[in-house]
Amino acid sequence: MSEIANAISVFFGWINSLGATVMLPIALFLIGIAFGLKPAQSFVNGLRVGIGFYGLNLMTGAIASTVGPLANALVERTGLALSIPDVGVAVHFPITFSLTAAAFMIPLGILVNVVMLLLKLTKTVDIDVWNFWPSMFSWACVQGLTGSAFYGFLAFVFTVAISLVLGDMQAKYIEKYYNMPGISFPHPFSSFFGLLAWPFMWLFDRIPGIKDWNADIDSLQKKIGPLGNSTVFGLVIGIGLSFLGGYDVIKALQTGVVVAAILLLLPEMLKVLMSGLFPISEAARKWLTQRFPGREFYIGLDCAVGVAQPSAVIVAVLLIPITLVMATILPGNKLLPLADLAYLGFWVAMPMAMFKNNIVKGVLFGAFAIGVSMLMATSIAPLVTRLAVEAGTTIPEGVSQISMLTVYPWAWVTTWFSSLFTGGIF
Amino acid sequence: MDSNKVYKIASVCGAGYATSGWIAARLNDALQLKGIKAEITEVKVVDLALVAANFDLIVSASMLSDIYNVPVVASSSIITGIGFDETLEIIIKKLEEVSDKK
Repeated sequence: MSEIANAISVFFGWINSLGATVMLPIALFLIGIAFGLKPAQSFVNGLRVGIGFYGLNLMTGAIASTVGPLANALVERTGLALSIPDVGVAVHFPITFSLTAAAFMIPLGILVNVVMLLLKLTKTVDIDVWNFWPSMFSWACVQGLTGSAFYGFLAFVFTVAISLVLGDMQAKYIEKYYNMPGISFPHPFSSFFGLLAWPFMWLFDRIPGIKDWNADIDSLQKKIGPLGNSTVFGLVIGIGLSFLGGYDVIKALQTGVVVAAILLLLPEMLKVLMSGLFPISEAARKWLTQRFPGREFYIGLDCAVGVAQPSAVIVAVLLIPITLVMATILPGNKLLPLADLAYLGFWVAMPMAMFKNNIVKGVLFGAFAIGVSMLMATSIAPLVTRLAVEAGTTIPEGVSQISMLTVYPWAWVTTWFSSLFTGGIF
Repeated sequence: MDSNKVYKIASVCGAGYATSGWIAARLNDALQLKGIKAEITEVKVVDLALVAANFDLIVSASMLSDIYNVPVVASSSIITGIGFDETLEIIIKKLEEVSDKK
């Protein structure tokens, strides 16, 4: 018996030693087959995921060599406490996908969804399998903290479940103010900030100035649209921070281009990775919509749909300078916002519907919500850094911690809850 | 409709890689079945303003205001499947108008 147990543990040890770039393609190939894809197609898809992951790792190296010294220079020269660079998905991804269980997040997430549908705990059929990725991050963090895969699994189930339930409750705003009937966002990011926005909805309607103060969306979109381009503001922010850090002109310009490159290239790597998953999404979507027809249920989409609302686009751009200023004055914040500055719309993806697309309310709430995220990102940084190192991520030279502005709030909540039992330290 | 033209379409969502990519993949398959050639690029919505002019059509996960001098079609039905055929018809009609103009 012990020989069998030994063989099993050797086998799993070997799987883990393969690393995500090999383990992911193999696992996704098998999952693709299980979802009824042709072997050749499934093989190519799995390989694309491995390639995208490799590309993301390449980017992390480049980010490390530029962003690390920049954060250091800023801390030394200005005395600002912003010692934790925000490296965005470059840290989310390795942490999530170094977990063997991550390869099975799609079937597991669907299972949780189906069980909840059958028990009538939710009305949402989550057809966008990418909504399970943030839930997997809860798993990774809680398992990383407690050492228990079971607690990680519970955190995953909790995150999927609460996002479905909140998604149901928030769907009426999507129908009314985004004009998309039958749609919900069972996404862990939007479900949390939608929850946070509820009291603000009530509060804003009781402040006379804010209640009716709104801006013309079309003209604003025309005016600030080009400023919102992520490569342009990446360049500007990179140069600006370089000067603050005391770099000379040449080095500042070079750094500006690198920051712009990060904002453009990270998503490009993700595109490759994601494209390998579409056929599995497609198979899951077909299977789910046949069993749970759309007119009786909400169809769950990624909250990226809400980010593409005109009102959310404007708020996202207005929040960029606000976020940078807040990073310097928010007590307790150590995060230097960088890689995730292109995604500030996600904080208001759900709330904009609740605020009836009111730009002023969106900016006020967005600033508050991003402040919450900065503090979460700062407090979870030690854990995130340790997990990233274990996953093989390059940590920037001279920097002791990394984190990300888009730290998934339910992952923070479940990790915080777990930390109550492990001694309160992340 | 010009059968040799390769239409340039921007698929827009908040992040520019997941939802928009999935929409792009499904739309590409559907257009191919109709014999229409298209080159579909995923665009994150904050980046759209500077690149909009490069495209014949914008399909956006949510309905964007029509301010780019390029026709915009809401595309979430392409993944939900509800209203898919109607959306496809609108897209093809807009593409026809583009090819008539040029």
